[in-house]
Amino acid sequence: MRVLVIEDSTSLRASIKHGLERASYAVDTAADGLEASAFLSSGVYDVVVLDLMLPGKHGLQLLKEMREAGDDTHVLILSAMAHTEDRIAGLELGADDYLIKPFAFQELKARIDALVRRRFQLKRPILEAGSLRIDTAIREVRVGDLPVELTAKEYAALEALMRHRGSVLSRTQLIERTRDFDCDITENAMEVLISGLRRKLRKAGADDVVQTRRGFGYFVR
Amino acid sequence: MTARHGHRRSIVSEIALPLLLALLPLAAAGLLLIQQRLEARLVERFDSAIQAQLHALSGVTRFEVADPDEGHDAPWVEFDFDPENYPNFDAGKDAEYFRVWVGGVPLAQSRSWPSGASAVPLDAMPEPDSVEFGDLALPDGRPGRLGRLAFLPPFDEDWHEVGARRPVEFARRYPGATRPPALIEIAIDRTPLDDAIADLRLNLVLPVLAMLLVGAALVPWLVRRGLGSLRLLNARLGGIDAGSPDQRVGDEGLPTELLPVASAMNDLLARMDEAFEKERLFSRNVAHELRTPIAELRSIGEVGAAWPEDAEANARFFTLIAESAQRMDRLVGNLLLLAQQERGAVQVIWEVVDLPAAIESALRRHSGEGDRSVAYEGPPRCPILADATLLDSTLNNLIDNMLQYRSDPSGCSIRVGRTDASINMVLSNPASDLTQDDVARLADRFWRKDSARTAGRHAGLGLSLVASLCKALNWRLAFELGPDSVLHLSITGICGGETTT
Repeated sequence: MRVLVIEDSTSLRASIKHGLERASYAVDTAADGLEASAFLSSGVYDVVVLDLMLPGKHGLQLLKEMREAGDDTHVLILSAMAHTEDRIAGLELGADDYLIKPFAFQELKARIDALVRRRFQLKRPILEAGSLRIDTAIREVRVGDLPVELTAKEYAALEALMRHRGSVLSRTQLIERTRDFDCDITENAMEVLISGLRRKLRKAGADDVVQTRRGFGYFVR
Repeated sequence: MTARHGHRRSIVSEIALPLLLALLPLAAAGLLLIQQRLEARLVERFDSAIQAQLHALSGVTRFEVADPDEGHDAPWVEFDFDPENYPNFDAGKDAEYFRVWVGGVPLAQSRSWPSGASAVPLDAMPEPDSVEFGDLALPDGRPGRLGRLAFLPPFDEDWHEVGARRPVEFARRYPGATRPPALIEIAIDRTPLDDAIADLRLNLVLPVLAMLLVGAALVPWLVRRGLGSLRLLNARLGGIDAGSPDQRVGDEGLPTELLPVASAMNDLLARMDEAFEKERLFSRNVAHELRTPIAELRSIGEVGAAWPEDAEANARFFTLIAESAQRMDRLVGNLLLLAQQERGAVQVIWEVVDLPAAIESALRRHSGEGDRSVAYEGPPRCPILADATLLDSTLNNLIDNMLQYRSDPSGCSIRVGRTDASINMVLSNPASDLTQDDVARLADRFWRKDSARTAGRHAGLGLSLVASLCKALNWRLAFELGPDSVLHLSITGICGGETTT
């Protein structure tokens, strides 16, 4: 899953990015409103974490522009503005959630997870395909009772495929959902990544979970 | 709890008591005056009745010529009194009394008077045509009123016929007088007068006393009623609780005298409301300023603790923690300094300081942050009287503000000018994004043109601090946005030192 963190505080930006990446999110960061506009134009994000008092362009203005442009990416406002009217203004402009600073990182992650689930219309944080089971809340993958150790990118690719179960995701789409702009993945690298993922799943007893539609991409049946 | 103020008197008693104390003697004096006048009037009317009888009796007194045929060899006084016409002078239970003297010799008296009258010396006779009244005890013991009329008995009509011979003869008998003086005394029972006076007193004093008693009860009630507006005002003030200082005292139903009080209270409430609002805004700003660094620390701490094995990330986090802590430290330090200055707790140590040297030192401190070239115009040495530490803090904040917020890297300048008495320093920097409204808010706490906290170093307190420092140093701080969008921060103060060029 790919998240854009728009935050002008260097420390917050760095820590949130690090924490979310360790939780297998692909994270991009923007330090001001103008930079954020450029990132958002790519339209590849599942969740946007948005600070309000941004240099260059106010967060609410950014949100307004997103919604006016038809961008329905889930937005979580992360702001020090704690007043009810601030929260109401943000939510009325189309934000999906509002978290006040200071916050617990685990809460931020849980809210981002919830927004991702909502995006894919899931009530539970569990994704299942046969004996394969992913608990997206704790980033745990099991085949039957056997845990499967995956790298963050392998997990991200598997979760993306499971969330779009039955649909084919091209290599490019998978790349978009598993990498950030700071770390490029080529299509070949994605093939290697999928190959490694299949090997680990097969070893745990889940054969042929990730299948290839030649010329189009990968899917989970 | 100790009753420090002792017994408190109410406004009602403060007004009613003096009012009663003033009214009671006035009412008593008025009552006494009225009573005396009415009593005098009663006595006067009583006496006028006696006087009428005196004149009636004097009317039957005649100075007759001598008539030897009738046994009068000399002129004589006839008292032609008919008791049938005056039954009141008969002896009896309600008898009245009269006596008549002529030339000091008793001539006649009523039958009611039991004893004979003694002679009155001529020189003790009252002047003719005078009336006197007095009190006495009647012969039967009743209290009486006495009227005395002295007069010259009129001549008999035959007198002119005998002419001059008679007066000569009379003069021989009564030297110095043309006729013998006569005196009539009438004494009557004065009980009706006393009863009338008693009735008067009763009818006058009792109602007045009753009125005074009612007044004594009414005055406090009326005063209390009159002070109802104060109670109304008090109730309205009492209805304003500490949680809603935006409430105001309504002036409906208040008398004109209390309108200024209500107005003054409303002004006071408005000032309190403003102070509370400032306090709320201040707390909100402080909380807001602290939220971001606290969020940074918390997020870094939690993420770092979740993956402690990532040494590279954690090392970076420690650096970020230090930066956040420094930011919080700066904010708290500035707030404490502001608070100290506001309560006058900052001690100013006056000494001679070289202003250009202080400016150069402050500029050097900022020179490590890229191109910070600032043009200096002014004397190479300019000693002023100031506190070196406060001056350094002022310059540091001003230069930091100038460099941080200039819209153009060039065009910053510091100009120093002095006269014999005063020193003037102007810091100028291009500020194309500032408006006149912004300039008016430059010294407001936590105000920044850009509301984002990106810079981290700046909480919007720098120029507030400068304003406060200038106040401590008795300097005047002014902001002006020139037509060329150049911001001029001007400080003017007393010079104090000797200049060297």
